[in-house]
Amino acid sequence: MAVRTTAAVGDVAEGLRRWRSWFYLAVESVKNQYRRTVLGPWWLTLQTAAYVVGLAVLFGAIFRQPLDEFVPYVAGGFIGFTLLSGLTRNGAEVFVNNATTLLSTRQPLSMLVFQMVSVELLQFAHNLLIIMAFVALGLVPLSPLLLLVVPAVLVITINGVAIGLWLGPTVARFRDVGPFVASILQVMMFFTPVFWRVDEIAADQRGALVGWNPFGYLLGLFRDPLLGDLPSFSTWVGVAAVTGLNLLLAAWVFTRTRSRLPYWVS
Amino acid sequence: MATISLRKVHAEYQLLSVRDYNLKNRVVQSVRGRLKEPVVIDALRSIDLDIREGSRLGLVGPNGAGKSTLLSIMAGLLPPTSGSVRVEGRVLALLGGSEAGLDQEASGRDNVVSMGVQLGESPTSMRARIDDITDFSGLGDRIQHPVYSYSSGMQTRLRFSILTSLRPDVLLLDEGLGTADAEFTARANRRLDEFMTSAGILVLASHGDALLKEQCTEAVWLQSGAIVEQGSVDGVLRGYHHSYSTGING
Repeated sequence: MAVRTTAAVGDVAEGLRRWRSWFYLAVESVKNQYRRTVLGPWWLTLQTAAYVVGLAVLFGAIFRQPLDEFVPYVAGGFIGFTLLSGLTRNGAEVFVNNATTLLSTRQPLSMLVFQMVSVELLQFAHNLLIIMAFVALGLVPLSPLLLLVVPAVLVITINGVAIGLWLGPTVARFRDVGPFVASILQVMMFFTPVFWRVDEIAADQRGALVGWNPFGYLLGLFRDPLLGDLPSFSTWVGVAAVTGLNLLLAAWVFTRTRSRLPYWVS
Repeated sequence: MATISLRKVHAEYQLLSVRDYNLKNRVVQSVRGRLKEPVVIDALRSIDLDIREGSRLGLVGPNGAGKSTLLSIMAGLLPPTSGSVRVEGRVLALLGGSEAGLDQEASGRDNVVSMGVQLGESPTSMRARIDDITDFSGLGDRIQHPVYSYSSGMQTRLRFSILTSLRPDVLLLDEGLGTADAEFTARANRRLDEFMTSAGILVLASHGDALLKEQCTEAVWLQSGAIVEQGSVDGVLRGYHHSYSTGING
């Protein structure tokens, strides 16, 4: 038991120590995804901008929301949710997708997770340009609260690493979990307050519809400061619970599965 | 200083059928208290092997004998299910299809850097090696082109050139250089000779007798995950061929 724990901790420590390697590889991988296009990763930004504006206009009309408030709300929500769902989807597939690398190049297994998280963060950074444009246009208030976005992204990053370390091995072992995660994520987009506001739901139904949703808390932590609000107490509590649970699962699963993982993907 | 020492190394693959992979079935079965153990394949059974510096070891045996698994374990890519593995020196392995570890969309140049970085080198030190690696691989201007435009032989040449430029102490090759052409093979052999003079270890798994006789000085015959015979290349190959021509161990 102690041997397994030492090996798992050593893997993560060595992975962290090699940050230059995985950050370099993450940048290369983003470049490679768009190598044959002219706009490159900026396609993502355009795609997100089109999505945000289109949906904000549509849902704004349906829910009768003033556009100057609703557009930044949807933008923050959609960009945050894209990061969360990307981390979850790619965290689930991280070891299965990198099977050939894992079986041909010796490296700490955690390095693959760090690399995956960096790729998601790089794509997220491209989308942040939209938020900056909204700040310039005055749609997002320029306040000291904006600084809270930094710790919010850090907390989301920690959760992303943890998800990769527990969901990744789970999917490698139980292949039905991958498609399950993918189908749940599609529905989660609608169950998470991205296109609608929590206060539009009757108070007695909020617990059942929103309270259980881990994405809701992490999203709130990122989006509220963009709208000039301090995240509520329940958001902080939810974020602490979700992060704690993810870290516990990561420690438990990664320690137990690390030495079997290469066999499962071979 | 390079040594490899394996003690009672066991490697088992679980044959995970759809039923075993399925989490729901696992949960239902374990609740009912009759969790079916998955089918297990013993890829290696209790392997004891010591390889000293300067050894050129060939691995022979039929498909499924455990040759590639043994190489993966020496490479540190597969942890043994039980037993101990001690490897001293820097191990580099050319394992898994010709394209393994290469990014198909990136150019050969970019792959030189990425592959080195994956193996723990810095981008700067890899960029400094690009010209040498290009020369040795014989890829010329094609090094600028994306790897998806390479033939499998060219991909093997690129990988071999990158790996050997990193000066490993232990080099592990599965099926030699596969589809690389004669001219490159000759150059690769010269590099292997240089590498061997610095007391490295070469382990080569192959079905080609000529290649084994040319490259190796000793051999291990694996059968169903166990060592049948160990000794000179000629002796081991004789025993191995004799076994299937007479139907023993077949």
